[in-house]
Amino acid sequence: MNCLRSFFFVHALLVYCTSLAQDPGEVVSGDFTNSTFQRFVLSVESKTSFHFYYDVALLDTLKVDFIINKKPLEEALSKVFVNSDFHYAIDKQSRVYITRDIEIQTELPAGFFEYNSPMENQNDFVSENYFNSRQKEKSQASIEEKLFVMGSKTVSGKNNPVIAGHIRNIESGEAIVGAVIYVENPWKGTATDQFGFYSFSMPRGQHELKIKSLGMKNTRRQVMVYSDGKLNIEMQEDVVPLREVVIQSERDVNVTGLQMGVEKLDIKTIKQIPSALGEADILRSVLTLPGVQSVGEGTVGINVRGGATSQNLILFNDATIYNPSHLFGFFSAFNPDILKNVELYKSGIPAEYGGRLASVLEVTTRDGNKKKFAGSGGISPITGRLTLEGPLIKEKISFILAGRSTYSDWLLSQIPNQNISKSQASFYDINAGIAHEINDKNSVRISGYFSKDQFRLGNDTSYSYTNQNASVKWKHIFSNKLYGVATGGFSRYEYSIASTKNPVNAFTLTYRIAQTNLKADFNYFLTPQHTINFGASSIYYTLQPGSQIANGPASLITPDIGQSEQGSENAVYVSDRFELNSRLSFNYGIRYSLYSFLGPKNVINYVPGSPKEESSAIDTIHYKSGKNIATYQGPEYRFSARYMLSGNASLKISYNRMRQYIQMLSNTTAISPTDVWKLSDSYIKPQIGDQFSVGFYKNLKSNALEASAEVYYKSTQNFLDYKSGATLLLNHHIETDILNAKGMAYGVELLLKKMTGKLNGWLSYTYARSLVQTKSPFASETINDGKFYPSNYDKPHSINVISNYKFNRRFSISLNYTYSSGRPITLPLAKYESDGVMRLFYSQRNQYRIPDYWRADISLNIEGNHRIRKLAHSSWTIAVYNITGRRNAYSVYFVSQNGTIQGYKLSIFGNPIPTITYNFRF
Amino acid sequence: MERRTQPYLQRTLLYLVSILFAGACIEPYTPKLTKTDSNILVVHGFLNVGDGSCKIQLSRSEDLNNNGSAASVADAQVSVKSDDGANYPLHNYGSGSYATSGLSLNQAKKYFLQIAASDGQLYESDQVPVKQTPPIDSVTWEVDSFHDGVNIYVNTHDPSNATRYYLWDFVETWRYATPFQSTVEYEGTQIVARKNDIANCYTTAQGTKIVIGTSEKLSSDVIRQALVTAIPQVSVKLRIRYSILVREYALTKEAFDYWQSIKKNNENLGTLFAPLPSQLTGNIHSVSSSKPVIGYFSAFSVSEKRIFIDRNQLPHILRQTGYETCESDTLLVAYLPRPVDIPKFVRIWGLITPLYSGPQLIGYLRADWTCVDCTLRGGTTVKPDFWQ
Repeated sequence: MNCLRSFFFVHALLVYCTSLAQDPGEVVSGDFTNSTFQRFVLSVESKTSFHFYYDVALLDTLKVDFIINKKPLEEALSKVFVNSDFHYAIDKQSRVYITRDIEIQTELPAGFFEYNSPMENQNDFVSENYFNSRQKEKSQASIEEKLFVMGSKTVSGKNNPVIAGHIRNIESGEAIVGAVIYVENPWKGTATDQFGFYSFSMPRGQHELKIKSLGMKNTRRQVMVYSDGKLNIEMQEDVVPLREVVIQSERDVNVTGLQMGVEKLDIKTIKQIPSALGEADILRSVLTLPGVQSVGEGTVGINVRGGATSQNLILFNDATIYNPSHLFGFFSAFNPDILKNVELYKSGIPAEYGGRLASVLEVTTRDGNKKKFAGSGGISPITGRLTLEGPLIKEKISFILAGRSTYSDWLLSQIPNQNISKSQASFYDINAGIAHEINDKNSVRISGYFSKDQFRLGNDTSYSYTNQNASVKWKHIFSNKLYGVATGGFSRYEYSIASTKNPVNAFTLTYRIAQTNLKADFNYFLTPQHTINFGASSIYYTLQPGSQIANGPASLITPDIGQSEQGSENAVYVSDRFELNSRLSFNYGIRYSLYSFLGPKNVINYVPGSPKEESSAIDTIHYKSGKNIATYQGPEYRFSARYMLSGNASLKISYNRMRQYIQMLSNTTAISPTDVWKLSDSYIKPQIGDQFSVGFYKNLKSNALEASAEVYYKSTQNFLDYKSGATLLLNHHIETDILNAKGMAYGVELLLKKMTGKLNGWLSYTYARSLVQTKSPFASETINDGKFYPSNYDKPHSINVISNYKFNRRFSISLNYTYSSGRPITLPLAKYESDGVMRLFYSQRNQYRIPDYWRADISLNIEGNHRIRKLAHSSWTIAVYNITGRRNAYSVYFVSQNGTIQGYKLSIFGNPIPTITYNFRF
Repeated sequence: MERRTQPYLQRTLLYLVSILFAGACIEPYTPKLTKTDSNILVVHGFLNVGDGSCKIQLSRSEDLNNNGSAASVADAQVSVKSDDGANYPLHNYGSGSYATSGLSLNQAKKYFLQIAASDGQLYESDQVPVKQTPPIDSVTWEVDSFHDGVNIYVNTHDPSNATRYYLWDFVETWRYATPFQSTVEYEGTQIVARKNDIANCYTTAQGTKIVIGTSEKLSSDVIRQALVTAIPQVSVKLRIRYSILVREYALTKEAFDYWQSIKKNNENLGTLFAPLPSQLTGNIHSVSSSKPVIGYFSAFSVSEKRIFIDRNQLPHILRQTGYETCESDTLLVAYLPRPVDIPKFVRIWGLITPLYSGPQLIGYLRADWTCVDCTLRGGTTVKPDFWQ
């Protein structure tokens, strides 16, 4: 049906094209007494061959008040625009352009098309004399009216032509990711990938391409499409960073896009959200989204739809980050200055991704400026940041280098207490990136990340951890229909604890995990209906699960070196995005992953059929290097479908299965720096998660308001639980402390978003449960009698209100409100006396909750003036976190002190925290 | 060293957060508990294989909100049995206390505890091996300027490398004095010279912390400088003379794990990376039901060591007296009430010392009784036998 229709459509267009020449005798008539300009336009368009191009927003207040009878359009328009700033121009194809301030010449300079028409050479080239004004902004406006001819009339084919190209920032030459490019009738469109590349098909004929992106000015291009062609587009940055909010650019996508359960935030939105420590923080911003929670304020570990913090794949420029926090969780590991955007997939996870159950959080940094040197930075109460960027070879190679560090060491040294001034608490991180546009078909991107945290109180134990990541990414465009990306990456996370205080027990403990990964992804636009994605990936893990050695000659510590672990995880995938018709489309795919746990390693055997305990160990088998110890494999199904209920409402469903071969062992509530990762082995099976979700999306008030409701159900097999009092670090037989559990999570997420206008923001409500069941024939391996019990991060109700009000382009104010149910805790059931001391007897796990959490924050953003040419642009953010000073409980606990039992409530930010941050760029 | 590092990390972090952000705070809090289980049997005690004695205290757990003392289990039959069938019944001393002594025990046997409660429930412990506790090498102390306190450490070792897991407890005794030394007392209707000193007292208190340690990661079975307790520098305990008796018990690995989880449940909770509390499982079980039992039965010998810390050994700083609010006043003879009123008067005021103007008695120095009689603060004026 769809094919047939587009067939007619093409023919209609061709017919239209052949009769392009304007009928010189065409006249307009009608009664437009006390009417609007829109009505006038509609009337003229319906009765004549004229087609109007203008900015609706500019003209919606313009009144028309006259009666006209068989007069040329010129006469009517002159009447309309008399005494106004507007100008009109009519070209030979009966197109009417209405502009403000600038006049358009509809005649192209001689030879203009001859110069530009060869296929694959359509760039934003503009003859300088073509415009009355040479200012970039205005030229941009005019380029929007220019007609680009794609391909040649002589080429014909059965399929619709494919248009591809790059979308870049006109200032910096940087690729724009996630820009949406589409034609409206019929609705065809796509979003640019991480390279700013787009490719999509549309029926032959004339179209207006609309291009929207985060923080960029919307633009459009007029194209006449005959066959496949290439069009590179440059977009202008919105000079005032806070004027537009990101998600606006993807307004339509919420309903029409196939993807569900995905949340995008760009750095400008992130910067608006008040933070406790004065610095924009990705992970904390992500926490304001529905379905994302954390156990409390002192952690950046996120729980997505009832999943554990370790079930999130955190990719930083395609390299896995194992510890996304600084200062033990008060900061996230990502420098806000170089971030481009953040995407969180909660459901319907594309087949390209695998390896974690709950979500994929993709963090992308921006490329350096390709055109000129620039810098930016900022100072907040705890940190200072500086970023430098610029071209190495203009338009070809750019670099970006960013550093961030705390001066908390200096703050501590100012405190007139010897012991505190001797203490240390610091971190720094460095990002470096190189982007090279080799040619139209090839581009390479190299990125590196290094972070280090150090911590010591007085002269006691010192503590440090580092993240090291590097990735290389090469994109090759084979044709308009096929491109591929090859990625190589390396990630390493290690920590060490050293103590010298007691010479006999002085020790150094280190832990390390490293992974090397290779990946190839291909995108093939098979037909307009089918887009195929396929690829393969391979990861090799090496873990040093803790080694403790003596520190100093007097130490009696015996070296305790955990056996290293090796594993390989390989996967292939293929998926098809199938647009059956304009209403119904599918994305279905399969990923097959194969995991091997490899030697060298000694594996303990236990008495079959009895609980795994030290006492039930029989013997130990040694596996040689590279020998396969355990293999797990299986398909991972991915499916999603979208059905358009109407032009602005849709229904989506998705199902996905994920497999996770590496787990984090943690029996603390928050992510702790001493948590260890463990590969699946003979005893610890990979976690398998299934998620079903259904969503309803509707845009109201011509896309100004987005509403959505999503329902999900998740089940997890081989979830990890721990025996009471389990020891996780330096445990050579960890399987004796680990229990196999089942997880179950379900919930409803409601979201209402308004991203335009002076007041913008979102409001979300989530009902979510996350439950665990640990059941075994052995009492020692059963928790809570084998019944489902709430996980540590089960918070049924949560409400988030994020709002921003722009007084003008320089001042805006943000107000946030967050509410959530208290997380579950285990409380004492009874007390008892032992040796004259009162002690506690605890209930079964997680049978109680800490008090509900709520917090309100406010921030005021002040931009410097907006002259484009000046030495440096600056902005100030003044914020108060937890403005009511509510003492939200992080935990509730009981301590027996001096023989009596006392309950306590610990709040991390128990007072209003005011901060002031200064940012600049030059 | 996770066991050592984790609590440290939590404490320091919180400290840092409060320094940097002035935000963190801890407040007393009483959650609403809907269901409580207040009738769990609590077994406390061990088999002392050193002197062949066994003392077991039986009680019941109580509701958290209950402020009374623990309900004792009075009429139970308690006995220690060995794996070869030997049976040593314990004598019931009332109020939940059961004991026996003079047992001749075989170090190679395993022992277990059996309790037959009056309600017909039978409880038994697992069979436990006998652990010999090595002697304490020394108990040492040092001034910890960082935490502004005095740390008491224990040092021990086992040349046979057989002990590995240790539990310690301690009893502190300190001398303290009232600010005023009363030299007179009221006797009958007369004010006479005081016969018994009521200004100097000794207080003895059982340590409330669980102190455990292990040398499992060390090449030899040595415990060096294990922190037993830390006393704040300004504490009244250190004002005159302080003594601590440290007792050491050798544990099995399982017993160590039990004490460690009690420690986690009671002492290390609530901070940022705190482990989660867990339901405790000891080695005593109900034979006839699945009802939980609190307690861990062990068989070991005990070694102990006492040290003294005198104020002369410590930095000279101002320490708390506990009597900071005390003030003395004069009571002139002219204002002394009639002899019949003196008893009433002495109930309120303690007389400290007579005041003379030349040879003439003009009055007495007086203060609140609580500032004069040290026994009102719970101590005893009787010098303990061990006091040096």
